[in-house]
Order: sequence, then C-alpha cells, then structure tokens
Amino acid sequence: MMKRITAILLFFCFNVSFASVYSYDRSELDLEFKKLEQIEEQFVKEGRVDPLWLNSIQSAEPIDTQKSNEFYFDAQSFFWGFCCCPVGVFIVPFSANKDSDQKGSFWIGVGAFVVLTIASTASIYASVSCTY
Amino acid sequence: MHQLVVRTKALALLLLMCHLMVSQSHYRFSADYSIKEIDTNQTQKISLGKVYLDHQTKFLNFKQVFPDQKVYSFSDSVVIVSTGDTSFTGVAPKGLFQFTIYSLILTNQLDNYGLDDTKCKLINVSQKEGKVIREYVFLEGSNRKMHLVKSDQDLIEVMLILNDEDEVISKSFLEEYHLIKGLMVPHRVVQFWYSPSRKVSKKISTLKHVILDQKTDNHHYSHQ
Repeated sequence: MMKRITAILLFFCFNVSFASVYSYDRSELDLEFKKLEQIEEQFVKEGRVDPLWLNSIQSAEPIDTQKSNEFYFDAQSFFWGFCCCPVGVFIVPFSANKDSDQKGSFWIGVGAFVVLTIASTASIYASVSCTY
Repeated sequence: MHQLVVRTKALALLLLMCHLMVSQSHYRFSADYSIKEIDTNQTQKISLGKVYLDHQTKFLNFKQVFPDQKVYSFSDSVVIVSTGDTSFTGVAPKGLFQFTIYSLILTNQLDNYGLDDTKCKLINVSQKEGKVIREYVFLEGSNRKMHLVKSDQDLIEVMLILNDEDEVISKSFLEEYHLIKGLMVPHRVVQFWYSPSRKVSKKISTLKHVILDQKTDNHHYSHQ
C-alpha cells in the first residue's frame, strides 16, 4: 500500500516538475505586463502615451545583451583565491567554464588574503619592534 | 533518337525548375515589433518599431519609434545606434546573424534553432505528453545544455538553456505560429532569464504585419 502511495506521489511530483520547467502561467504573466500592454495599445491607437506612464518606463533593447548587472558572490571561488591562490588561479580565472562573477569572487579572495597578510605582518613587525 | 534527346532535355529542364523552386530561399524579413520587459530590478521597459533583415547583405535594422526615436543598425560585427543627430558604434553580439530568430525563420532553420551548424551534440531524445524533447550539450566553451521541446507539427515550442550544474538559466516559449509564404513564423516569444541568485527577468516580444522578401524600400535594409 505504501509503495503504491509513494509511486503515485512520485508520479505527480515528476509531472508537476515537468510542467513547471516547460511551461509558465500565462495569466500571471499577462497581469504583470498589464501596464506595458496598455501603453502599447494606447500608442498603437492614438500615436501618443499618457506622460505619467512615460516617467515610469525605460527603452527596451531589441537584441539581448547581459541580462543582469547584479554581482553574484561565489563563495567557492572566493576560498580558492583566499586559501590556495596558486592552484586556484588554474581552476577559476583560467577556466572557460567560470563566469565573470566567479572570477571576480576569486580575485576578491586573493585581495582579502593579500590585505590580511600585509596587516598581520605589519602588526607582528610592530609588536616585535616594540619589544626590542 | 531525336525524340529521346528532346525528352531528355525536357526532363532536365523540369528537374532544374523543380530544383530552383525547392532551393528558392527567402532573403528579406520585415515586421512591426514590440518588446516588453520586466528586468530583475522590476524596471519596466518597452520598445515599439519596425525590424528589417536582409539575409544576403547580413544587415539588421531596428527602427524604434517608441518610447524614443532610435535606429539600431547591425551589420557583420558592428552595431550603430543612432538617436536623432548623435550616433555611436559598438560591437554586435557574436553569432548574431546565425542565431537571431529572424535569420533562423528566413533560412528555415528554426525547427532546430540552427544547431545543425554548431558544435552542439544531441545527447538524448525523449517524448512526453505528445512533445518531443531534444537535449543538446555545447561542446565548446562550457558544458551548458539546451533542451528543445517540439510540438507534433515539428515546431519549437520551448527552448531551455541549462548551466553545467543543470540549473535553468533561460527559458524561451515560441508561440502563435502563422504560415507566411511557406514559412512558420512565431508571432510571440516569451523569455525568462534567471540570474545566479535566481532573480528572474521576463520579456515578451511580438511581431505583426510580417512581410517576406520585400522588393521595395531598399533604404530600410541598409545604412541611411
């Protein structure tokens, strides 16, 4: 009995995931794009658009470029830069599979390591020179 | 003997005509376009205008009329963006003429998104709910994968791109196909892009009044 229930659950889970990956909710999307749709309709009909609407929109690019300007911090790449830079440089920056955010995270790691090394060396040097 | 020669000539002519008819390819595409977008910062963007593509000269022109007058002229690897009296030149995206949807429509390669001429390998074909799902892997640069979901009419309905960790990074839905001069042209494309932090950017592109092989208005298909 339990096996049947598990099988039915798995079947539904798989179908739900299939549907969600290869489909989208059109009514939800239409609701999100309602304002832009109204702007397009008004422009096509009247050749003009309510100036209030114009302040809240930007021009869309016709050809896809980089879609996101936000920086994504990759902890793994950071630790390669921070803990093992000589090996990490072949794994992250020289790898074609790593994106610019991962490479950026690596160099942040290297920078953090350099800053910490200089700071700790300076503090040790200062404490030693104070002792003598 | 004479009859045989005449018949052979007639057959050759017939074959030549058939070949010309079959191999006749379309070379120009124009349409009214609209692009509506909501990016990851919830910024709402729109542009309306006309698009012109000449496949022979590799020239793509977007004449935007709203929200401002702007012309994007793509040729080879260069893009010139003109806004009134000012213009600037930039580098066009790599593979633009190979993979832009207008080019794929014109060259009748939309059925597999032009992947035949690329270094992609078909790794799996499966069937689900009457749809055929073809899975490709990119052999150069990254281990990204692409899923093409095709309808029973052999039209692409969904295109998924996954990163090397099998996370979906973009989804495209090609909808509202209409038959124009023997070509199936999708009039609505819905796209979703996922950022590494899983924020989503959404875009709806629509086409209206599609014209193929326009012989007049040559100035739209070149730099003015």
